[in-house]
Amino acid sequence: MKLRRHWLFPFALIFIVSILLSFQLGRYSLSPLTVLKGLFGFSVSPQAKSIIFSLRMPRIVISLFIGAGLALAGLVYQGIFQNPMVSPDMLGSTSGAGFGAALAILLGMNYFTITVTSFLFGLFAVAIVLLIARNVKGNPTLTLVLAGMMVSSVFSALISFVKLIADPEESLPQITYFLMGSMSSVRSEDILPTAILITLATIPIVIFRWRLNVMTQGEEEAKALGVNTKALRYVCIISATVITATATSLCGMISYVGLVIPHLVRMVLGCDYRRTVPASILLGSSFILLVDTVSRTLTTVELPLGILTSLIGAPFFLYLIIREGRKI
Amino acid sequence: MILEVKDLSFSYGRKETLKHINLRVESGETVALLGKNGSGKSTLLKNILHLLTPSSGEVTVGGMNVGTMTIKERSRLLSYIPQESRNIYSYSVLSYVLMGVTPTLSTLSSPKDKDEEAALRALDFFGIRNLKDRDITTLSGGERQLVTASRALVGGSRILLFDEPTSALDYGNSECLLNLIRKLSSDGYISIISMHSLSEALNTASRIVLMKDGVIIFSGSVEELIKADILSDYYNTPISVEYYKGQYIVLKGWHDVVE
Repeated sequence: MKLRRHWLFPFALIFIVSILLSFQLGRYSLSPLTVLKGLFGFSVSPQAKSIIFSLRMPRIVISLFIGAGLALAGLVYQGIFQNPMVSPDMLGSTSGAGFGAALAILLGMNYFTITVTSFLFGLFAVAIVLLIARNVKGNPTLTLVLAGMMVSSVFSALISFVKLIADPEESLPQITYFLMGSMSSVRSEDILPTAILITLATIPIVIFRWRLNVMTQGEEEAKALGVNTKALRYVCIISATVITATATSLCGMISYVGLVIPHLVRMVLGCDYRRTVPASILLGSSFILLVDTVSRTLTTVELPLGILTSLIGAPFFLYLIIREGRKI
Repeated sequence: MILEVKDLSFSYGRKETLKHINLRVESGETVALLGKNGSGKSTLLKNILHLLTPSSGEVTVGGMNVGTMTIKERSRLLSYIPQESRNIYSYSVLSYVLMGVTPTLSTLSSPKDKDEEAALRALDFFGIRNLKDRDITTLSGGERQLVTASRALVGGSRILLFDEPTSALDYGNSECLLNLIRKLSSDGYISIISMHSLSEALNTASRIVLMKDGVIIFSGSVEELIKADILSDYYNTPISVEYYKGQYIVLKGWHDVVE
């Protein structure tokens, strides 16, 4: 089907403006010209150069990848589970990764080990879900959802347990702050692994975007239309899990991005995954970038990202439901 | 092209739902699967499509075993028109019909312009091109069934399996769809239709297959069915069939009235 490309233009514009605003705003504001000069290699003051490249660049790049990834993971889950209310943490990857991080903090591990443990626990949680679903006969979608709820609640309970036994002076505040979600701890060394993991996880989703349309028609119809539903479901779950585990291990629990962004994109562009995949990447990136910019500029103390995404996401989601009724 | 079902059985858990089904359908034939609720009509269609895996027996198309084919190869040969299509998301009718070309695409590709033209031709065949930009979730039951049939046609398969296609349609839409199925038969398509309406079956199908408790108890032409005189016993109500002005008319309870 012929798709004219101009539909992507507003999303690309929002994306570019978000990046520029994010470089510009902060406790030390820079003029748009300084940002552009700095980014394109023209001479700027050493202070501005340091702010652009050392202070803001890592956060901006990681925000872009994580925002894009979380929006995409939500979009994919909403398709393969044929449910627009599904979010990327449905199969337990976020609570698994959250528990991994909490445990590593409790054990006094360093930043690198916390991130790796968290990532591995995110994968482990979803692996348990897949193992359960594989051994249960019946509707695969329903089994996955139920197993996901169960595993998710077990890891949430384990997080509570870790918090209960954590040192209230040292590790407990650290765990609590981490779980609230923040970009403040990301470093420039995180850029490469984040970019690699999220890009690798995004490739299959981009490739199979047409087949995701067919998956929304349900298991039987998708199979009858020539889609290997089992294989596609596994590919999508693995991709989405890598994305959410990467995001949670770096920045804690960030909710609503995977729920709100796909809805917003569908309202503007319709449901065709050939359009919603690139648009969700751009809008998800922009959303996290703008929220992170707000979180570090609004008050003197940096607000956790997870709090802001929920505060913005939840009422906005409610607004979307009221405005559009059943066309979500 | 010949579709054959050979000694096919299927069980849901311990309950054997289909028992030793044998069926041979040739190009141009329209087969009506008739039977009471729970007699195994839909289960047979899903076994032919291998959406359900038979516990024994096989399905072949042109001598090739459908069970050993890949999902994609199978979907190129067989198209499924479900009783009710699941539409949660607001796709345009054209996008929805375009999903039917998926079996013809390579794994990594998306539909091209020529596929869109094929989708429009399928909409033309069913006379619903005017719906192409409509949101699929806003269509009436009848419109949706025609759109789903268009989607089945666009993939190029020559064997169409309809699961109670007229159950949600008014009289006019039912007739429209059944006329198009007759036209497809004359073009050499095989149609296997699970249905409840005896009258629609007799006036559409070239062969009637009557099922009871997972077993085929009759398979033959309409004339042979009338001659066999088994419908009254099967449905447990007096039924007679008259031929009037080129149409079969089913009279229910007619004997009682005459007597």
